[in-house]
Amino acid sequence: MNLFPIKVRKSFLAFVSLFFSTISAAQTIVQEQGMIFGTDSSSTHIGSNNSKELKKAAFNLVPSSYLVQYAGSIGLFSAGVGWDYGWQKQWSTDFLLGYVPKYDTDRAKLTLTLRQTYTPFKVQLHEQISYHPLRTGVYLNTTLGKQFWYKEPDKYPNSYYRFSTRLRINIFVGQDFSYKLKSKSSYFEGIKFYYDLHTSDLYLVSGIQNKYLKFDDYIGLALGVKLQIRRK
Amino acid sequence: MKKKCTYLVLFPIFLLIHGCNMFDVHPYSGKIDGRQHINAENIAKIEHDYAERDTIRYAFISDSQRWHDELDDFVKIVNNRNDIDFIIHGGDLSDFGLTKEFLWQRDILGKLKQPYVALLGNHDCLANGEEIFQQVFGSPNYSFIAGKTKFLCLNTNALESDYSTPVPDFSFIEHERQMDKGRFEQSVVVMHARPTSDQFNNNVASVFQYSIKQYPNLLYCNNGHDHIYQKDDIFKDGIIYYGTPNIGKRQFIIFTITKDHYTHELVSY
Repeated sequence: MNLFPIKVRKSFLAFVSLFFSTISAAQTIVQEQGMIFGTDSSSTHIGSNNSKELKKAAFNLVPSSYLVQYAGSIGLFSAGVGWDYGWQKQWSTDFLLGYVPKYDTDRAKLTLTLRQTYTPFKVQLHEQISYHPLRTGVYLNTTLGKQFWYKEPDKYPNSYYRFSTRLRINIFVGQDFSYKLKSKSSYFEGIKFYYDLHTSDLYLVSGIQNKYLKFDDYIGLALGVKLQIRRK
Repeated sequence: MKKKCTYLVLFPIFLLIHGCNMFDVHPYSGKIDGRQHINAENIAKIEHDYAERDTIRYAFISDSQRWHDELDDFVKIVNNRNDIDFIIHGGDLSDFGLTKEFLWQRDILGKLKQPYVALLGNHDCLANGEEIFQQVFGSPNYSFIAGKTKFLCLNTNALESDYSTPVPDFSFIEHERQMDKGRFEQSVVVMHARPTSDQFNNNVASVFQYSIKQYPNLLYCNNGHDHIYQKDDIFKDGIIYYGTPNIGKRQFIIFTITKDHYTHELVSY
């Protein structure tokens, strides 16, 4: 029974190390490929084709943005990396690490978030500024600490609580503004400001059932900044 | 176009200003705004205001988790009456242990004209709920004296605890029996989960019963947790356990205590 938190911690560490090793490996590959392309122009047709594919695959693994967020039920502040993809970059997957100060409890908490965003529409307001009137999606948040469990411990009779204190499913809708930098060679190519209105499974079930609860009781507001890394 | 742009910029800014209290850090953040340590404050009021009373009348409610509307209606009902001296909440204010749940319930109960006290329920212990409960309401074990009756309020959620915390806390029960001996003549024991329930440490159920029966003139016990009205002589010793329905059933019990005597009435609204 007590093995459970250790298992969770181990698998979490394994996950994080795998994550970072993948990123660093991918970055190395990109750099090497870049060097080959930059110096060796006489490579054969087949060789360059293979390299291109390899480069493309590596690109998909390297995050395409860094982000920081304020609030959002995942921490006071959280920071992470994101992958933007799709023909219009309408999809994005983010991974965030959040920090919850201790406030009136015994200890501060760390959380992990995996978020999938869909941004279907784009309005070009200016040469450099674009506006996305809708961003929506889901994020899963898990809180680290042995107080929180995925599944209730074995001491409870079957299906005693029927929910997880550790895993929250959140949904959100929001908007964003993107600003594209003028420079053609800077490390970052653009900056995106977004806000999301969000709620989680537990807030939503409370809000739906009670007229007493107002919109802002169970719907939260999050603000974020996303820095887009330049792609060649 | 320019006007449109201004609106597009103004809308999020408006949301931002409106949303100052909309920033949610985390469901279990433990960020408590507003009133805290409510039990201690209200106990002082109860002990002061009703010290000379021969008759006291209180409403006993319980298990209001995720029944905010029903609890709000209860507050309106009780505020329209002027015969109720105080209210005891038998625990389970929160369903998931979320910080906000405790604050929502505190704000609803805060509209009561009469003082109230709240007990710790098993749902209130989930995640870091017990820390929040202690901060907002107070200690899981406490007592107070209304008129000549001592109310012993106990944490009986043994399943939520491990052996590092005694539940029920026998040394507390014994200590409280000795305290303020001259000030009370009779006693009532209030708890969330009663003996024989899934939460109670049933290995010590009869020892528990023995230790509370040492109290001067134990009248009866109150409990919540089971979400139904109960009136049972569990140990066949004349001590009745009165269980109150969850507030979602829109029911509560009113107890009237006089010297050596009490009556109860189940109220539906």
